[in-house]
Amino acid sequence: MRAMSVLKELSEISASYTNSYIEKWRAGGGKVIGYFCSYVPEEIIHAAGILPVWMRATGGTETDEGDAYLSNYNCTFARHVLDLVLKGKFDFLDGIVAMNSCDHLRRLFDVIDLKAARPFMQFLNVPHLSDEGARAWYLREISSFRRNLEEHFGIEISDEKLMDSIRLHNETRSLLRKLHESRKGPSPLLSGAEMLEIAVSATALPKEECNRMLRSALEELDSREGITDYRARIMLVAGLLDDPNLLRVIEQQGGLIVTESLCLGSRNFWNLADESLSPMEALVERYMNHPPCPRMIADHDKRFEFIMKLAEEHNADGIICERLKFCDLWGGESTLLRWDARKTGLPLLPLEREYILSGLGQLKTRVQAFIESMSR
Amino acid sequence: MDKKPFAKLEEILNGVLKPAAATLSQNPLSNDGPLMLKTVEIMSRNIEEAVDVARNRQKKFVWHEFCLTPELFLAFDLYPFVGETHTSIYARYLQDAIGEFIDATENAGVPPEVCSMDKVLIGAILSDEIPQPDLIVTTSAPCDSSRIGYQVMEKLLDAPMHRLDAPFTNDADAFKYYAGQMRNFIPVLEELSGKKFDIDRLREIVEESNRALEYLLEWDLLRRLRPSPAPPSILLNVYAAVNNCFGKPHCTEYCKALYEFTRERAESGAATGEKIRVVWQHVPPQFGDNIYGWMADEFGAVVVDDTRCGYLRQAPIDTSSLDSMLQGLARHGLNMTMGKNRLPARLYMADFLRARQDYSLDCVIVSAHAGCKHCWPLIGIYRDFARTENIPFLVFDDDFLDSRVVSLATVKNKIEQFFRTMKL
Repeated sequence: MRAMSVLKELSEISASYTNSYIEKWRAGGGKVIGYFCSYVPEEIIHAAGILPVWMRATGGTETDEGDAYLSNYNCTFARHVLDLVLKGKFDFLDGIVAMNSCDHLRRLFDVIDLKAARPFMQFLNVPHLSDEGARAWYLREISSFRRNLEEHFGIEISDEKLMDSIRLHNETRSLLRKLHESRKGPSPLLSGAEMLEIAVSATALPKEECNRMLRSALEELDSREGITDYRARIMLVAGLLDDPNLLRVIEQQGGLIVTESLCLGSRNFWNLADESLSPMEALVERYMNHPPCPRMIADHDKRFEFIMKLAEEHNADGIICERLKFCDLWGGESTLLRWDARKTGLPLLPLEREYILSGLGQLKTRVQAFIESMSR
Repeated sequence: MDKKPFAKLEEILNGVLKPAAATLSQNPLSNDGPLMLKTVEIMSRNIEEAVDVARNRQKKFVWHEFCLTPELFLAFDLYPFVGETHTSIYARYLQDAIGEFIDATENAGVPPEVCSMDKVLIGAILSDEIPQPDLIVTTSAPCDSSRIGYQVMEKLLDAPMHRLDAPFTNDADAFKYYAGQMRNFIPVLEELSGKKFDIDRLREIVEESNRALEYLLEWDLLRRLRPSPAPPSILLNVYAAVNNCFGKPHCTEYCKALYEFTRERAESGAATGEKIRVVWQHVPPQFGDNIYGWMADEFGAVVVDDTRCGYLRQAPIDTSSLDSMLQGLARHGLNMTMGKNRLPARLYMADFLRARQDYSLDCVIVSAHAGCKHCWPLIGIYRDFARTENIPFLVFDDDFLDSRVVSLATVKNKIEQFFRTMKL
């Protein structure tokens, strides 16, 4: 029997908030910590011998229990996650780490902390600036996080272990970046949906296993011919977007997503930690300087520069900017990006969505119209 | 013809506040009239000064956000202006402007669910109501809406912007971190003002704001008496009256008058008719009738404390050194107005218990502002907590600036039903 394609396996892993690797880890007595957001240094969790898993609500279908605490003025990502937490679906977690990513996630943590706390709960107070003072504050926060993990789980996170984790995570990011770059040419080897499946899976696997799979995925790409049946090359810009099906809908209209700036995508794997620095210093520099999200209050120009660089390198014909309804950060950012993109002549389509794919007819129509407006 | 900056603020000044002051000085209308007159006078004075500086530019105009107080700017003889405070003034006295500003913002592409406070400010910029600032100073608190709103404002105004990071904790380390950023900010203010920093000047100003705060703390103690001698209708205006002028002698004079008036009422036993003691969480509707006055008149329901006046309850600042002053200013800034929204839910619960103990409350009313992503996720927690603690609790949605979202009649109806249902 032929072995399952690694790309297919990664696709399956991305389709649920948990997977067989997490179950196997747990069965072997391993601890698991769920976290939110690309500013949480997962290397520290890994160096503690704990599996870090980015919390998603993939597979969630309703928000009835979540809505008892989070209102319809909150984003549906937060409501779906809370619903799963309150229904015990994340009981396999030994701890949760969150931060002040946005008001929705911040208050989601508050509700979990008060109503369904896991044994280890940590809130990181991550600065919204990246200057010297802010970096010192971030160092203080992640040092305290390191100590709390050590105390709670009765383990030692040595500098050596931390540096090993940094190297391992750097390898993951380098492999993801190679996969991302396979979409630069006229015949990209991966669709946008496939790339998101890979990137999402990478946040839900033991990193050693993940790197093995990513290397296999790169080998698998060598046998591919590349995608040519598209009408336009699209860059996708969004915050928390973890649903490859949404990208699939866009791609089915002829808009191949050749690059992106997403929380779980390029922004999460773009830059590496500097292995010549001390481990904590390397983490501070890496996390405070990765391509920023709109929560960073001084960085709109950096974000736009990053987007334009990727759009240019991947020869994008237009940008689709997605945001979850009630997300103020991406709501304002989407407005700013539209104003800026207008000056460059690069078309930009703002789209609003709920966490669970809905309103397909409208989505298809808007994407089709956008592609047609680019005379494709 | 180019519009003059603050044309609408001037319209409020000349069309509403000055005539109100003239009327009140002739006829106080009620026992609260003399204090209401002083409130109208301080608001008029603040607006008059803002309009004057915006047009004549005798001082540099510094637009600063919540989480900062005016003292450091005043020490450099700069003119500090808190935009957010003035959204309540537009809402209260020129509701049409609120609609106009919000529509301008949404037409420019900003999503409707962004907080109306930021939409009003962005719209005021788009409508040329806001003067070009010489400097904008923003912080990372209180919310997502302001974090991104100020990035939009920066783009529209093309003015220099300085940013401070507001930590999400409220301990000595947090104040030191914030104070450190304020210290680094001093050279920026030196360059803008062309003046060297003078610690003695800062001390004078902080001592002035300390005097104002001491009166406010005394006033707060009086509000705890049963019946509360503080006129509830005034409570709705205190924040807008003083928030922009701490450190100025006229602010201290107003706070003194507020305290003395309330003390006299307490001593004379003038406060009567109190049947229900209410603590109001979050910001009440700013438009239409004075909602606190209406509750007192109709039901004897006296709002003894609310979120905004609660924010004014700050211990004075130690003026012995620059460090102590900056850390004190950091503490005030981070806890003033909406700054407290940045804190964990557990501290809100502690506030509930403190309010129950301090103010002998009979119930809590929460007006959940549509755009507030801090408030809404806490409603379920509030509700559970109120049940556990057996505190009657009303929550309803509104937009405290925009009467088109939920009308005042609807709000009043909900309050009336609540009092009836709870047999309060």
